[in-house]
Amino acid sequence: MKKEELFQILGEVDDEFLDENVTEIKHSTSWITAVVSIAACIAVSAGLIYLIPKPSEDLRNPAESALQSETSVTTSVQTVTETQQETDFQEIPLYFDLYTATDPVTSYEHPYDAHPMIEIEISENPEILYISETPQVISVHDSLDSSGRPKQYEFTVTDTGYRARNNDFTLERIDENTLILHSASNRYKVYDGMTLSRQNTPYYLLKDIQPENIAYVSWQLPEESEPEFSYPAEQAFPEELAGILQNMHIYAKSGCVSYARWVFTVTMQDGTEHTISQPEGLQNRFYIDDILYYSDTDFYPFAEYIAKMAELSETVQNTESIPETTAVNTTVPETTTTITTETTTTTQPATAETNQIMTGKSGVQVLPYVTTEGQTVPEPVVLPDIQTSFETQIIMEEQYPETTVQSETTATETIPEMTVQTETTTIPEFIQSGIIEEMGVIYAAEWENIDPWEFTQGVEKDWLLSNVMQYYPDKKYCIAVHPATVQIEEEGEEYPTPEEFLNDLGIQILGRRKDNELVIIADSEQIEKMGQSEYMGFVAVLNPVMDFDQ
Amino acid sequence: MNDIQIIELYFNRNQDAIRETEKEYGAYCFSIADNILHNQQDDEECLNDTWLRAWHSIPPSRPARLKLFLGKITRNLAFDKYRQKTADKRGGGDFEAVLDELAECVASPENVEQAFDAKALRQNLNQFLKALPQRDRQIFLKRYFYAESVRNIAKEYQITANHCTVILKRVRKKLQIYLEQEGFL
Repeated sequence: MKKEELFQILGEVDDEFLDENVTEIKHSTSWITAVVSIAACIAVSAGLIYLIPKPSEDLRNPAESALQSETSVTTSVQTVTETQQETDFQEIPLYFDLYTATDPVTSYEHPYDAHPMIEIEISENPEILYISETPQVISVHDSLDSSGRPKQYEFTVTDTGYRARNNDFTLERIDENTLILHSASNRYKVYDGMTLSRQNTPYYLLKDIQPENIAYVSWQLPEESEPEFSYPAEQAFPEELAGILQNMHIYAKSGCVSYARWVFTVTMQDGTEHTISQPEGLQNRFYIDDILYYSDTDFYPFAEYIAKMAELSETVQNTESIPETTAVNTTVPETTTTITTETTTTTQPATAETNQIMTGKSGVQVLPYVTTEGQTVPEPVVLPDIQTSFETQIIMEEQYPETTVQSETTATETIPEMTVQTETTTIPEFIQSGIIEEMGVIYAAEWENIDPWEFTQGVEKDWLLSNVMQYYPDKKYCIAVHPATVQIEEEGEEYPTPEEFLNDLGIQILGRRKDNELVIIADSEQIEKMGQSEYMGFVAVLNPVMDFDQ
Repeated sequence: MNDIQIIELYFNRNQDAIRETEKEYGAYCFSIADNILHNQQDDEECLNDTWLRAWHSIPPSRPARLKLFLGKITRNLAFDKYRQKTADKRGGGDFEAVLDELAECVASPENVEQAFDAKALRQNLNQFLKALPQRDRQIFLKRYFYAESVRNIAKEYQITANHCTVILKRVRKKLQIYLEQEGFL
């Protein structure tokens, strides 16, 4: 069976199903049999386009009907095909008025207000509003007022498109409810007699977004109700995810909304909001539910990603039952105001050592680097190849002699009742973004085969440097690196082997795994130095849980 | 003028039937055509063909629901025209997306094209639709009968486009499983 055949047969479904409100499809009360020509009044502006109803006498001479304005350019967009039938809906020709609006659209009043004014803001951001070469259909979602006339319009670019900077847009009227947005190759290019200038377009959102990764963003009109969340809306973004988002290529699948202003707001767990970029006249925000990761074939809700992160967090926190790594939660009574220092000494039996092996998504098995005094750093071992599932395992082995682990608990200013975690065992919130911290070392599990991100190695490195280390500059990181294909000279000295190079930087090598990759432990300074040298490439950063194929 | 009166005009071979039909259901049929064709001239042509087809069909047909009767004609004609236009090249655009989504439902695990009984399939599809929750069914038909955009549907049902996409995807998956179980794939 072919898809066309299925579509055809679907056309013969029982009427009873079609009768269930489905027949009340959009446009039904407001169709225009033939689209009346549109006179466009365009003025170079901050990118605000107004579609303004024209008085009926002007309809008869659309070519003469352009609104006059010092800053406007009159042009005709479409030819007249006057086959309008009698309908109960008065046809509303639209006039494109792109004008300089220092004042946002809210204060605008058109003299021809006999008809509802339709406003389109198309000034979102060339970084955001990516237009493909093919025309984009902009659907006008109208809600009808009591007289059956359009009250509210929302313009949506419905094609996913791709990144195309500096495009001009030409709107072609298809019918009352549909415009086609043409993109031209150059800015300010006159296209079909109509120019929409993007000069002085506010350029405010997500300037740092990289194009390599794709996500879907839309927003909510202020007057709309809250969207449904498939994942709890109150699920907070870890603060660090704001950094992740900045590395995403976000573009608008949705287009232009009157009164709408772009803003990307990240809500923190404590309820605070982090706005990546806040334009003037902020009235909308993007919702978590509308942010999707894109893979080759589909979009996936960002919320799913967050949910998986939360699962991971729980998984890791469950490991707290192991004494050596248990986070010590101390409930401090509300009245406690003194500083309490407590030293715990745990004697570990020789038969249950702290040689924990953590398995990441890809099965990267690394021995922990233990910063706590009294523990022995294991010798380099050959690590096995990639596995497929992520789970954190604590494997007890019998290798080491009895050791003593000391941890110090310090609680200060505990006026309200709260839980304080010991510094050495706290699993930070950042764990939710896929980084696992154990004993002072941040393990960056490998995330190979994660298509949506499609990071190059350079981006991986940048990601680690810019989005991880800035939050944990004092931590050590367990990562996998691989030698550069061409060995280069460092300060006049040629390093014959990667090991030597790493040793010179004081980086500890835990072992090798597939493809001769070296699993190392290094602090941020060492990593930075290593990154600058271009001698080593990063291969393993994260993300262990971005598996949407399940 | 109600359906009965319009149909009577057809039976009396009164050409006002077409005018009244167009007046009553022009917008509806136009929307269906436009969702598929996205071309005003084609839409109009499709509508004219619809009126003509109705003129030839009534009588002897006496549709119980004139609106749906016309809607189905328009849909078929628009789809025929769409296929005509895209015979040489892939069409792209929204409607192509609708078809591509449906392709998921007919993807056979064995990847073998099978002959199928259209009548039986139609009956099974009706059963499948009947078993769906009403909202899912409506959304499904909005998309795959009327070829409406996801955005439009989402707006109408006051859900996010993402949510709508997820619903559609789930129903498509159900349909695929159903078709497999019934031996159509």
